[in-house]
Amino acid sequence: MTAVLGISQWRDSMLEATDEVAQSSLMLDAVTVREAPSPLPRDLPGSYIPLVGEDYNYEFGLAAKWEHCEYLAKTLLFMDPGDEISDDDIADAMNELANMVGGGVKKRMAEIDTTLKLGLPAFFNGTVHPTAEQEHVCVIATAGEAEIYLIALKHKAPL
Amino acid sequence: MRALVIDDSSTTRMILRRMLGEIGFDDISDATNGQEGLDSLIAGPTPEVVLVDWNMPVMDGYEFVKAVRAKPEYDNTPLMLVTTETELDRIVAALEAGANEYVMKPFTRDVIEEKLALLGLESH
Repeated sequence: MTAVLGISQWRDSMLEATDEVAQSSLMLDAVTVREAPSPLPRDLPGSYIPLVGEDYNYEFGLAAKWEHCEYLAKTLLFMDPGDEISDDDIADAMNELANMVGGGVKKRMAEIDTTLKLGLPAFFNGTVHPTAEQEHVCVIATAGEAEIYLIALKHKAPL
Repeated sequence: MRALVIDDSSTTRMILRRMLGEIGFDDISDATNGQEGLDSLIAGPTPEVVLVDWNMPVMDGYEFVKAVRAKPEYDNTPLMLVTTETELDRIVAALEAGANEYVMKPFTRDVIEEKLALLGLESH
């Protein structure tokens, strides 16, 4: 058995990884944080990436209102606010951000669970609510003009 | 200077194209997976450097590096792995297969420039 990651342990890792990506790839100031409401708002599209351990499955999500997804995508791609961007490019940019932040989360959580493997991100056009079989933690990070919901989901039952 | 960027993410391709352009590359082509990248490499002309993602469908970065290094005509073509992977053994495996350098996401233009300089590719 590997060490079981408590869902609360994700909070600091998610924030540190988001801060790192915000400053290095988005050139935005360090993130500020507040607790997310429960349940999560409707219409919260985002990208989710699996982190699969030997004993447990986790999932990390990076979600935001659509206009904030657009802002993040344009910032990542060095575009001006008035530039045209396709929905596909916004989704791909969100996937890339989730990939980068997910990599940072994995790097930090690997100190506790060395078996974690990072999967491929997938973009969902709506709010992903935790199921009864999942624990979750969610915080809102503000980076530039975007409010980003950082969501960690953990399947309660071992694999 | 010519570069080939291989990544299934259009975002990463766009970011790398822009950074490489700023650094001084004036002929940048791209591909969305290792097989497409290999086909592009063979079709020529040979780039000064290939930046290749690790996690991709069809053919991943590791398989791409092995396939390129199996062709002696590309012995001197620098291959730089671009990855979010943090496992040292996988990076070591890629370097042992023939990758010359690696860069971790998230990266900045300065990091790319430093890594290119290590390969003898100075910015203009």
